[in-house]
Amino acid sequence: MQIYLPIAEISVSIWLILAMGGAVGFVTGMFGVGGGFLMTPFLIFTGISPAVAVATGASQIVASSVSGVAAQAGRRSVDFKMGVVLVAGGIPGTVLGVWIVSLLKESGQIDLVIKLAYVGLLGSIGLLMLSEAVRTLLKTRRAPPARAKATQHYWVHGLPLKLRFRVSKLYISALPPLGLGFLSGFLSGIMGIGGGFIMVPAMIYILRMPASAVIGTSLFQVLCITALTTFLHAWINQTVDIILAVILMAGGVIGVQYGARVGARIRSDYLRLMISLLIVSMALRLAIELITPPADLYSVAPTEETR
Amino acid sequence: MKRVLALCALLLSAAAAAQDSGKTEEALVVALTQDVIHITSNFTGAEFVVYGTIEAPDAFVGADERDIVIIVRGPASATTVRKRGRVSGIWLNTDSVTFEGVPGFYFLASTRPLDGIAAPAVLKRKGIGLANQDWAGPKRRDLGEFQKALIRSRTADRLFAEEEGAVEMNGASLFQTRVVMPANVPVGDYRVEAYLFRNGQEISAYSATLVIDKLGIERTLYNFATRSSLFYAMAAILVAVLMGLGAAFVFRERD
Repeated sequence: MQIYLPIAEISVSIWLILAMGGAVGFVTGMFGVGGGFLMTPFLIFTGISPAVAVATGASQIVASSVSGVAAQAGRRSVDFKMGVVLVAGGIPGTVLGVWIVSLLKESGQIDLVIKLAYVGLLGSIGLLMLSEAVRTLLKTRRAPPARAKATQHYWVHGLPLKLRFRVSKLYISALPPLGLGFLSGFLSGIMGIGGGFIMVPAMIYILRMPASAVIGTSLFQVLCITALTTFLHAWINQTVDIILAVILMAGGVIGVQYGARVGARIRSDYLRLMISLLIVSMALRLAIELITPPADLYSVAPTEETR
Repeated sequence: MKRVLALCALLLSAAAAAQDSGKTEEALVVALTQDVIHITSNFTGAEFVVYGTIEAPDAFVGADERDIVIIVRGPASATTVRKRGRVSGIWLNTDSVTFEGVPGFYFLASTRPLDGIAAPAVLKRKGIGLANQDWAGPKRRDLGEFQKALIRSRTADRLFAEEEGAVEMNGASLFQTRVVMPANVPVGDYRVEAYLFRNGQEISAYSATLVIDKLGIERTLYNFATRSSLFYAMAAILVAVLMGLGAAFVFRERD
């Protein structure tokens, strides 16, 4: 069944879009990660312009995250205080990112910058997570799991502005989460992603948050940042296609529920291994795209609306 | 039936016009089966017929000496073509050219191949045929390569088409052709042009307009998104939050 999208200005199959929303929602629910970096390329592949894909993809992540946060909040695994600090850092980051995108669009290098950002970030974070996951898996196979000590001290604990985060059982400075929030907001603005795939490992390895609170809190942070991204794109660029968004959401909210259930049943070590493999393969695919000669050297830039 | 009636009316008015002005040359009269195309939620493209008649005071000229060319042009806009080059192993956009006044849609149908209808210089002057387009761009030697790439890309998207031989003649004076538009046609004002050629010379030309516009929910949403974007932005987020909460409620754990 075909439907015409009023903002994207093309006709697409409803079932294809539903399936795409469902698949991305499943991944989001399972890992608390990864709406945008899958959704944006999917949408562009169906012929939707990158600007509409990025903006509408962000609005779909809002719905998936709301649904995910609601599911996680029931299990008391969202550290709202930590989330608010992350978002406080994320807001200026997002605005800066969106502004830089508008500058890069002028020069025609936005595609390259987005792809390089994806390859660099996904590649390095994915490999980091992969090696860590493999190491823990090998370790746990030999010996009983060694619990990381919550009271472990390192540089993060030396910073000022200490706050107590009760759900995360942490007493740390507000500066690292603020900085992390800024970074993920910046990347969200530039790459049209939630930034969860950066937040989750950063929360685990830098903030040392307990794994139980990481996914819910990251979903909460992603929710706020993508809501801001959606708002800015819809208001300034007018690139949010609400019809497309609703179809994606219908698929996505269902997917995220099943994803969250499946994710809760899988051991977190395996979960980390799977998400790192997914991220690394995505980075590889984009890297290959950048180095293989294009079929046509020329490309026509999407025309700006002239009405 | 409606078409036949319209055609009759057209013929009469054309005959009257020819008599009034006392013209001795052939005149061309053209009409479309639709002059407004509405884009609604089930829009998957459009198809319409351009038809017309040659009003010929000089009836001795055989139909085989006449040629008809019909062109449908979409709204024009500046269009940028980028060229990729290899820089330290990575393919990136290294060059670009912006053309002014490139139509968002270009369809041409003719009675036979264009090179048999008129001399290249005549076609070039009138901008008839994709190969004879002269969009304004920067002065550079490889401009033609960029223009060819633009035509190649739009043709692949079915936004540019050239169908030589697609104008059907019914008898000596009636002609028609079918225009097919894909779902991604730009919205706006279109121009339908018809040219009559005889012995390589343009004898008569006629132009009509066609409007493509969004209708119903498509139009409402589009206007909402563009005219009150601040409220649209708020609505978009509200819809997303409600969808998410609704799903969480429906799928809540029942234990």
